[in-house]
Amino acid sequence: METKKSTDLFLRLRPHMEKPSKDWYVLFLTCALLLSWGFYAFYRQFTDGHGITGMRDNVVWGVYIVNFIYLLGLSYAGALISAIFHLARIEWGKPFIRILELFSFICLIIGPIYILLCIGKLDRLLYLFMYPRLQSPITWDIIAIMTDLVFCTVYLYMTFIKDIAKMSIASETMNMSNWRKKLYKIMAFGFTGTKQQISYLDKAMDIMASIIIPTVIVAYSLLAWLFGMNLRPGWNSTIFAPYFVLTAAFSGVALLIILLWISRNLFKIKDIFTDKYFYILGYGLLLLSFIFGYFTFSEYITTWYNTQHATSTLLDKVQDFDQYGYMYLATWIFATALPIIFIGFPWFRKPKTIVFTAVFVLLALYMNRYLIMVPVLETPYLTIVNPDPAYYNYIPTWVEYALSAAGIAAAVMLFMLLTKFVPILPLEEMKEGKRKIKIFGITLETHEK
Amino acid sequence: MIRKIQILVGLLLFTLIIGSSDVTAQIRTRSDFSYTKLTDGTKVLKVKVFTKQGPVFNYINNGNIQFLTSNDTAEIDLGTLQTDEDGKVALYIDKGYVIPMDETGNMHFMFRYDGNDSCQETDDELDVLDLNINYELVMDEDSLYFVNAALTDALGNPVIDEEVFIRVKRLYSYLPIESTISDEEGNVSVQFPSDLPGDSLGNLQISVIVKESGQYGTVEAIVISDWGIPVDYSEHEVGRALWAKAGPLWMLIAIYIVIFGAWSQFCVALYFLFKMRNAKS
Repeated sequence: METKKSTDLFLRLRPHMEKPSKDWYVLFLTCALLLSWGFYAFYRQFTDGHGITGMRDNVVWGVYIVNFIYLLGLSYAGALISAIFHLARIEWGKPFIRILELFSFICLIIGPIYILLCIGKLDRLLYLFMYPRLQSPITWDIIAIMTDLVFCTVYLYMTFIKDIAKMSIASETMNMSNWRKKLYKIMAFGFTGTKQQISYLDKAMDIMASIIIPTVIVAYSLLAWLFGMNLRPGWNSTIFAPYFVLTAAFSGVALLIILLWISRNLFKIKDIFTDKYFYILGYGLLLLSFIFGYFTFSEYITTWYNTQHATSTLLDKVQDFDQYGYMYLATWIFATALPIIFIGFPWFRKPKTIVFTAVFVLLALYMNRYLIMVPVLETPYLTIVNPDPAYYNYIPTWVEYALSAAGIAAAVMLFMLLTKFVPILPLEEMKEGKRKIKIFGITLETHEK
Repeated sequence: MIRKIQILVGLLLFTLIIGSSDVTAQIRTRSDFSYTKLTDGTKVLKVKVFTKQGPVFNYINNGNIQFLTSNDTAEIDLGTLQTDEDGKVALYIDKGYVIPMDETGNMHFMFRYDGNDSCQETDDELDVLDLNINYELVMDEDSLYFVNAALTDALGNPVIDEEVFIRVKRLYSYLPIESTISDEEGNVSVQFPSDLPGDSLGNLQISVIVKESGQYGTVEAIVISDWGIPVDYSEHEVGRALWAKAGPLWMLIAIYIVIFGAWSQFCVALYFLFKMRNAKS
């Protein structure tokens, strides 16, 4: 079970798991402060009502729903890529598979909280379960999200088992509290590393990976159909489901690049997450940016040729520089032009520029979701008669900013805690490299058993 | 020294004037006063009292509004009513109660509000002529429907050049059919559509109204006709459909298959997980 390479990696990660650095605590405290700000904002929203947010009668969904869709997209992308890599036995991707699984799980925990923040009457939430209409996309979505949450949690746990078993043994000699040692023992679930156990665990993981792939595609498609099946101009589109799945994969790859960069510097594992990983993932990002550009152009051009008044009004609003024009332009530049310039052209192609591009891609895809949500709600078929500008122009308030920041802080804190609990690298999955393969013309050494 | 005393006294007086003016200030009371005559001849006097501070309107509730009319010699008290929380009050004068008129048929109405600690008193008056609307529903030889109305004043003279609106009561508000001006004989005639959905018997509530006329106020005549198309409002048992209580069968079967398929696989995965735990050695 033990190999020289995995033991060496474990020794390098061990100090962080035993006693993190001062910077770790500073970052954790900063996030905790942001989270507290979010709790205060939630308290104010709970006691004062939704009037304290920017949401009104027409724009009933704002930043919260954008956060929800965005985080679920990241989660589904993480689960999808991780499951595909596992099932296809893509060995070179194993070093970053743990990161994918972690952010998939974290985003799936935090994302649905935002949909609860949108609901004015939380006491009626139970009605969705008491009186479900199985032909309603909302019911499908609830079933899909809950199914996905259970599946991803169990799958994540399964991927942890080998390393937790290793930690259970190693913790006896490590400087950590007793409760943590006991927890490792319980969570190891009796795994000792026998061949039969490995065989059973691999079978269980194969099954979970094979059901997670269709589940996440269906779940995110259902979320897209929530909007696509609506007759509102800007939402009633046949390509929404594949478009959503594509943007999820796009944002997932971008986030993966950023997290690889942070992890390799934070945990000093540059020899694991080498520059080659950034080039390969960068090419993936470039490819996805082309497909994203194609889908987005297709969506807008077909809408533009539609001469319905409401549709034209919506497009005018989105492209008007006094309203959403800059956001619309920025989305195009960040999500399509930047990947072409910084990844497509070899002169600029460096790990740092790829990470830089990934950051802007993430930002662009957030704005893309915002443009799908807010301007559409501001452009209903029936004219908004209320003279108060707050009713036809959505502007987020500090409450929404605070709760959004709190969501990011909570995600960072969870990531920090989980990487303190289990190694950031799937040590037991990574053994001595035996085979060299070529991806996009780049030679990589696999971590094969 | 004298100069300093002068300044001090000046400041003191200024403070007193500003301070006292704040204490005793009453806000100007604004009002709306209107007259409406209903189908059965009941006359309604409506008053709304309110104040305005900046962009905010404050409606005066529990304010005592005295309604009055007058003849040639004296004022006649019609009654005193209290405003509601929206600052509104309405006095209904029965058809049998004779309102004094002058020789031209003019009626004179007034209201008075005495004000309170924060609002000034106010009053208003209006002069209206009595107007009668005599309507007639006609179907001609081509089976076309017409609403005919004749406008006359209290002395029986035709009322000319008044705009008359024909409309139909729907669920929340009135559906306008047409508006027309009374001719020199005081008559109006409007063709009525024959394709309006009515109640279960085809009944429609048609309103013939003169709205907020300078001389006559608002006068409305409502008539029930059977010109509508009968609509069956009873609930029918809807079969399986997207919009029904029970969705299409194929959809339910597909959803259950997907859910069962996914969760059964999940159970198999858990089964292997537990087998793994039991295969320690």
